[in-house]
Amino acid sequence: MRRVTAARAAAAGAMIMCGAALAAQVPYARLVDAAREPGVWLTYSGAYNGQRYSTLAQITPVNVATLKPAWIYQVAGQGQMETSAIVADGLMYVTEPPTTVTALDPKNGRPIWSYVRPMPSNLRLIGFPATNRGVAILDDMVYVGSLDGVLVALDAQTGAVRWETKVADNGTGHSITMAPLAVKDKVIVGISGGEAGIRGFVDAYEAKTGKLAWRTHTVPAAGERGVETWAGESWKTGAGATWLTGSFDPELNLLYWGTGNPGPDWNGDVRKGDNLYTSSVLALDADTGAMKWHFQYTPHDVHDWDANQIQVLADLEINGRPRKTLVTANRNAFYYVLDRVTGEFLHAAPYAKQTWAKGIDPKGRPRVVEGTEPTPEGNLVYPSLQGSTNWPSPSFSPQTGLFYVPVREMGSYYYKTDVDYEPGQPFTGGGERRKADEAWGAVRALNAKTGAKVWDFRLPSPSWSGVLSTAGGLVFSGSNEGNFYALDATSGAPLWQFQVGGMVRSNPTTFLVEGRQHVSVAAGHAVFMFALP
Amino acid sequence: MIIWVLMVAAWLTAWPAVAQTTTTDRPLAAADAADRAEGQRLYTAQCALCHGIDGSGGYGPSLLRPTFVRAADDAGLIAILRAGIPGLMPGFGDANGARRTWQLAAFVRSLNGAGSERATGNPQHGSTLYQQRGCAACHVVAGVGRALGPDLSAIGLQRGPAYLAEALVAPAARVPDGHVVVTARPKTGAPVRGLRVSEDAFWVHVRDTGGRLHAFRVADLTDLQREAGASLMPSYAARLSATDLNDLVAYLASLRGQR
Repeated sequence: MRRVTAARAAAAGAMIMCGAALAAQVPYARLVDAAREPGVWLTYSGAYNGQRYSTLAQITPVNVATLKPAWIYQVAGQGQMETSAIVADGLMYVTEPPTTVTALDPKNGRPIWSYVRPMPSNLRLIGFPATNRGVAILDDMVYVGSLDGVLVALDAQTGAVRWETKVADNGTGHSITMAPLAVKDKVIVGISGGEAGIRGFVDAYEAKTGKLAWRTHTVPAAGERGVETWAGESWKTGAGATWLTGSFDPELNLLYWGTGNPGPDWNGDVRKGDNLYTSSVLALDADTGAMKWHFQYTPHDVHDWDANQIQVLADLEINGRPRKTLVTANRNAFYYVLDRVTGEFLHAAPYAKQTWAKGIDPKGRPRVVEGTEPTPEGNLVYPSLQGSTNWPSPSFSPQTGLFYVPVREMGSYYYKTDVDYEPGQPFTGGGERRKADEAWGAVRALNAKTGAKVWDFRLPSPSWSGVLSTAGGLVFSGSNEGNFYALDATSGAPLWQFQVGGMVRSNPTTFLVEGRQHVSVAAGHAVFMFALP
Repeated sequence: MIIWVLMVAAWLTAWPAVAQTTTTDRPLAAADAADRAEGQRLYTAQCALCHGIDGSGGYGPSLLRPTFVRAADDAGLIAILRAGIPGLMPGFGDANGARRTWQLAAFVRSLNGAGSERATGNPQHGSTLYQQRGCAACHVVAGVGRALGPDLSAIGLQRGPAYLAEALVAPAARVPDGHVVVTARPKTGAPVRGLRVSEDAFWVHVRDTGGRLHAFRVADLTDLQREAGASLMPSYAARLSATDLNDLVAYLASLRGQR
C-alpha cells in the first residue's frame, strides 16, 4: 500500500513537471483519477473500475430529447465497428477493422492521423470477426493490439510507430481484438484464440520499450498447481483466452481479468475436471502478474460461456457491511458479487433465463442440472452459446445503485462432436443451433447488491450494444436494428432515440468538447457524435 | 451456360493443381451422399462455429438461404472457402485439399434444400394450377404477381422438389428467413395481422395480407404478438390431389429465372 502511494505521488510530480511542455500527456496519475476527470475518457471503460459511468450531468432527462448528431465519421474498410473511443486532450482515438487506429478531432470529426496495419493474406480468425475494440493511452503513446497478434505503440500526436512487439503467433490462432490496459509503466494485454486450442495468458509489456515484463498463463502447466483439474495432457490445448479488457484497483494493486472457455468448447469428455483457470476471474499483482486469488464462475464449462465480461469494481454495502466488491453479469446467466480483496464469494442470482443450474451453492459453485451438457443429437439449454450477455460493456451507476446490463434472451441446441487438435484450426468439438424464433433482448437494470431485476427496456433481438450511465440520470445504449437511445436511469423509460442506420455493436462514451457534454458511439461502419443544440 | 463454362475454366486456371480428371470439376449438385457426408464432417469442424451446426446462422449469417450474395455459382463458393471474405471470414486455403474443399462446398450448397433429385410431375399442368389456384396473389414469377411471399422466378434453382412439396403442404415448416408473422395491436384502432417487414426498438412495419404497409410506433402499441413458426400461406395439403401437388412442384422446379 505504501509503495502504491509513492508511485502515485511520483507520477503526479512528473505530470506537473512535463505538463507545461508537452500536450496530450496522460501520465499514470491521470488514469488512476480518471473518474474525477469526466471531461475526457482515458481507459476502455472510462476508469479502472470498469463502471462505464460518467459524472457529467449537462445532458439530463429534461433536455435529452433535443440531442442531435454533431458529426459522423465513416470508415472506408469492411467489417463491423466495435470500438470504444478514448478521448484525451483534444484528440479522439477510435479503431477500425481490421487493425486501424484513427485520431479524430472531436470538435468536427476530421481525421488527424491513421495507423493502418496491413494484414497477412493467411490471417487466422477462429471464432470471431475481424474487429478491434480500442486503444490504451499512457503518457504520449497509444497502444493497439493487432489481429495478427502484435502489440503496437504509436505516437499519440502523429501516429508514428514507436515500437512493435509480437505477442503470439497468429498461425496457431492467436489474435488480439481487445483494447489494452495501461497500468503504471506497463501495458497489459490479453489474447484471443479460445476456439483454436491456444493456452491463454495475460501479458504485461514495458510501455516505453515493448519488452515483456511478465506473462501469467490462465491454464497451469505440468507440475503447476491446478493442472490436476485437467485430464491427461488436455491442459496443453486448454484455451482460457483473455480477450477483453480487465479492471484494476490501484489501492490493492490488483488487476482483475476474466478468462474464456476451456478448449475444446463443447466436448468436455477430453478434458475431464474443473479446468482451472478457465471461465474464471483472476486477481493478478500488477507488478509481477502473480495470481493472488481466482474465482471460477463455471467449472468444467461445456457451453462456451467465457467469463471475459467486464469485471466491475464497486464499493457496496452487503449485509450491512461496506465491502470492496467485484460484480459481474456472467455469460452463464448469473450475476455475481465477490469480495475483490480476497475473492470470497458473497452472492449470486440469475438475471436472465437459464436452464443449466439449480442455483449457486454457498461457495459459489453452480449446482448443475443433470443432462444439460451438449449431445450428438443436440440438447436445448438456456442461455445460448453467446450467453445471457457477452463482451458489450455493462454500466454501474453509483447514483442509482443499479447495474445496467445488455441482455440476450435466447436458448440453443448444443451439439457435441469428436474433435482433434490441429494447430491453427478450429478446436471446438461441437456447435449450436440457435433457438432464434423466440429470442429477444433488453437493457436490464439490476439491483447491484442482489442482482434482482428493477426494469427492462425491451429490444427486438439479443443485444450486442454496450451501456453507458451518467450522473445526468441517463442510460445510453443501442440495438442490432440501429437504434441509439437514452433511457431514464431510474425508470428505464425511453427519452430519445436516433436511427444510425447500422448495427450498434460497441460501447458508448461521453466527455466534454469545448466545455459541452458529448456522447459518442460507433455503429455500422461509422462513428457518431451527439450533442445538445 | 457459356458463362458457367468460362467460370469453371477460370477456376481451373486459377488452381492448376486441380487436375481435370478429378471429381472436383463436376457441378456441386453432382455430389453424392458420401461426398456430402465428408463435407458435413468438415463443416462441423470448421464452419459450424459461426454458421450454426445446421447452417441456420450464429455469429455468421444463415446458409439456409436459396442464394448466396457472395457466391453466385459453384466456383464462387469454392473460392470463398479457400480465400475467405476479407474482414469477415477466414479462408482455409489448401488446408483441406481440392477434393475435400469441393465436398465441403457441396454440403454447404445442399443446406438450402435444393438437392439433386428431379421433379417427376407434369410442369405444364402445374403451370395451369399455379394460375387457377391464385398463387400469383402472393408470389411473383417473371415479374408478374404480388410480392407478399418470396419471388419464385428462380425457385427451381434454389430449392429442390422435396422442399417445394413440403412448403406447399406444410408452409409453416418452411418459413423463409425473416418472414415473421405478427399481430400489432394499437392502443386505438383495429389490430393488424401480417408480415413483419421491419422492427426496431421504436418502430414496427407490418404488411397486411392485402399488401398494405402499416407503420406503428412501439409506444403506440399495447402488444406486438409474434407467431413463432407461423406462415401466412395456407396449407395446400387438402386443396391439391397427390398428382396435382406433384405437377405444381414440377412447374416450380422448372422456374429457373432469366439467365
